[in-house]
Amino acid sequence: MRLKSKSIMFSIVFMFFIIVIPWILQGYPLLFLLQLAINIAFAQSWNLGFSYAGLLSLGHALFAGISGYVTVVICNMGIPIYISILIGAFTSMLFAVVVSPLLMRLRAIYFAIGTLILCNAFQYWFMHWTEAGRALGLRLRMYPEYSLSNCYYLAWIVAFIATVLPWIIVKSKLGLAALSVRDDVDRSEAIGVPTLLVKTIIFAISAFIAGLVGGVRVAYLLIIEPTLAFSFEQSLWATLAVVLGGTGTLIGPILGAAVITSLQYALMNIPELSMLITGVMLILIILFLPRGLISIVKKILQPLRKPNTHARPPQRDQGTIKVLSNHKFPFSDCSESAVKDVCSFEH
Amino acid sequence: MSVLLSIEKVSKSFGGIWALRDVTFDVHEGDIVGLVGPNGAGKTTLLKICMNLLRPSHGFIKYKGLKITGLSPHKTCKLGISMTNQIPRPFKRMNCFENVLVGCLFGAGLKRNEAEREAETILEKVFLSQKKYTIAGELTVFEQKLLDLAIALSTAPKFLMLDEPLAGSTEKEVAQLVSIIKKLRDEGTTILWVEHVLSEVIENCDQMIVLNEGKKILEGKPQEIVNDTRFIEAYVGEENA
Repeated sequence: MRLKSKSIMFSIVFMFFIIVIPWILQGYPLLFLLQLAINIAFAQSWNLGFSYAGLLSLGHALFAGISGYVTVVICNMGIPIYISILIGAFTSMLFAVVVSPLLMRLRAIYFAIGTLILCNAFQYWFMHWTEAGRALGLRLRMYPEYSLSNCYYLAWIVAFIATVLPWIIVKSKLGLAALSVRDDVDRSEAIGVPTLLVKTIIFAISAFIAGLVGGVRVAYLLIIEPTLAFSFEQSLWATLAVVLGGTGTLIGPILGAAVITSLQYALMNIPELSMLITGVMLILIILFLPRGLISIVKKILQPLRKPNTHARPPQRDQGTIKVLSNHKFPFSDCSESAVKDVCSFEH
Repeated sequence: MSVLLSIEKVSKSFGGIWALRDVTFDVHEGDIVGLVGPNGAGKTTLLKICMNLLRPSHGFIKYKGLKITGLSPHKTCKLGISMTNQIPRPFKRMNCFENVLVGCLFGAGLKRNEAEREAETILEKVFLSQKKYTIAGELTVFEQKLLDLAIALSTAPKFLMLDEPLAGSTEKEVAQLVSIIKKLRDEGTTILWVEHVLSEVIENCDQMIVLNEGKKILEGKPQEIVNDTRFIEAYVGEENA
């Protein structure tokens, strides 16, 4: 309980800083924090699909892109930006629901390929669609609320929603079903979970968050164009942030997004080497910290926690050996011939 | 006793190879029906067809007089049909309690509080109360087997299919499992039991069915079947019969 109240305290202090910062900092550092919020939200959106329902989406930029275009079109009609972003996000969500019956038939890596191709198809389509401005994209009108600090707040509100929404879902009945779907689709279907529905709902919520991200991004960039909106790198950054921070946690994506954003900014001045350095660093982190940065945090926090009262169960290897030694072959001939086979193999 | 489930001329082919051919039999309410046969006889395929995880090439399954073939597995489950797996398939990254809770919430359709109470009862029934908060992937193979059974029970089944629950278990473990199965029968669950450990099936089942190469070759009381030459031929091979 003490740890819980501590983490609540920490969150309150953190939020206080986030609110106060625009009065202290301006310009470049604020832009960094804005980008950080966007990356956190996008990573959380991807994490929700992957860690809680096993949906490995490699075309996640698609939902941010669609929402971005819709936001621009709606806002340019004279509708306030906040409402436009919401409409954009709901459009992405609706789109996710529409493509779900098709995509959810694909499993694991095939799902990843499916989403990747869908995203690329959209990029190609928008590149050649005259009404969407082709490769030049669309410009957002200068709306009255436009300012860096407003965009900053907007981005952090989205990051907050993106963190709290999965937290609520995980504790719910839907979250439990989603976890079972992630672990074994067929088994959870066989114990009464409507898996297609569960996957679709999770995917739709994930797309909604990604849609919010797309809307906010266009609200501060004031432009959207297909190469950026549907870029594979963007989906990849989200994936990397989550893997780096630690999958299946809520803090992991935040940590990962912080590292990724810092990397993006630190290496901005050496573009020719940036991808190389990023790649090497990521390989090193994944090699030495396969469970993500969250594992370090947990290690630091360990002494603060109560000592673990649950005794660790026996190792899995022992179980296997036990079963092998106790395994009754149905026919004695069979076991003898198996032994002979093994012996002859050794000669 | 009335017929609970009937299998009507079910055939299944996998790319031209017949795993099942015109299999027909009835399962009566309250019985333990033993389904035996050598490896590759089509036993597991038949269970999957009953669960609607596979679609038969011909024929259909009737449950309480209604045709259920073609339903989705989660709807089949809600009718009161459930199965365990030959190789245990618990949800590996969730703890035992959560593993069972999913079925209580969705399969049995209980409210949250009731489901939590029911999940604890079921864990107790399979001797896993001590492991309530252990992650399923960290359990021993036998414990995973018990958990797999607990997951099948969590959906409040009236008709339970067991796929080789005793395979690879020690004598003590077999005794434990058989005691659970007997308890389930006493509670009124109808059981279709696929098994290789023949002695236990013969001792405990009311009706026995023998499959060989996808065909039903025998059906009857276990004592009659074990003395039938066709049964011995299927199991041990003709030259030894």
